[in-house]
Amino acid sequence: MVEPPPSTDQRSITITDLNMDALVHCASYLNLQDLSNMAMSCTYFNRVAYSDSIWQSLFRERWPQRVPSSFSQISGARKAYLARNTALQQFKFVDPLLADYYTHSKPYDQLFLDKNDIIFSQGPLIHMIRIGEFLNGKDPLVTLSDHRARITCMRDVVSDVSEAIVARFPPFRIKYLVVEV
Amino acid sequence: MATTTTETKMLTLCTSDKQQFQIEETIALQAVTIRNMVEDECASNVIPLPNVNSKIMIQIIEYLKKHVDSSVSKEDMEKFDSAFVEKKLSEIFDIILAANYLNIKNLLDICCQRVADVMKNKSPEWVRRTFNIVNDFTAEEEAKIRKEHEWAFEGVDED
Repeated sequence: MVEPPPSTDQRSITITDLNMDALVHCASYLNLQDLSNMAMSCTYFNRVAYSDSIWQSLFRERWPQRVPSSFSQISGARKAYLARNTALQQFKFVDPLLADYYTHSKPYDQLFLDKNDIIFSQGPLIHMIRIGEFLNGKDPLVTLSDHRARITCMRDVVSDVSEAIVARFPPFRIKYLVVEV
Repeated sequence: MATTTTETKMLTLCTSDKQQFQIEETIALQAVTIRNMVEDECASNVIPLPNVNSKIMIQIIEYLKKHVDSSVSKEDMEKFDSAFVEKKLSEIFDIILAANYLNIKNLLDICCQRVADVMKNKSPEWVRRTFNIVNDFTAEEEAKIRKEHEWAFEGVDED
């Protein structure tokens, strides 16, 4: 969109006449790239583009399940967003793989990730998915059932399946793995 | 003299340049600031609006008149809104200031959206030029801040 040159006929107000709140309101419609460009244009816009309310909503939009109950007053919402973004960027995947596993419809009681193995329990049964075997073309599913006691605890229990796998398997070259529960 | 039972109640708005605007109360009350003044009875017949000039008031009344009309379809209202914000940026800024003061939320929304649309997909240089902004970063600061923002553009095509 081409804007006409600013008129000089009369007292013409500029964007810097708007207060912080109004500018933050404008900036709330921008995406990450546009916000960055805004932040790089001058110090006033920089303050606008870094405002907590904008980054709180960006955070909420991207990780709705993960919004902290309160953002740190000192470092602010932008820092929290960047920290989480950086944490997720730590994993570089060179050989993305998508796999679906269909198992019993019964939900798992416990889930445990150990190197390249995904271990989960259903009642007294322990199932293991051995990714190494899978990549070698063998059946990756192993079931252990030589005891009867219900398994109530596995070390290092996690709840968020897809994210846990991504987060815990840095040496394993896998981008995204869905375990169908 | 009053022959109709549903006599329309009128309000008079007085702008910063001492122009008076007679408008129906229902139209004016969409502005929360005016509604509060009327409800608190701190306004007599004439409501002073020292932060709004007549040029802007005319446009705001045009907007409020349209939006009070419940027979307008959602689609037509959107058409009206997008035509309404097709103004010079300086006028949009004036309307933002007035909408902020008068507390007319949807008007503020569409005007802020309009300003944001101007910034979309634009470089910092373009943003400065368009909004007449002086780059007040030192060369060092600018280099640093550019570096800090590189991550946001990863995977985004240059254009």
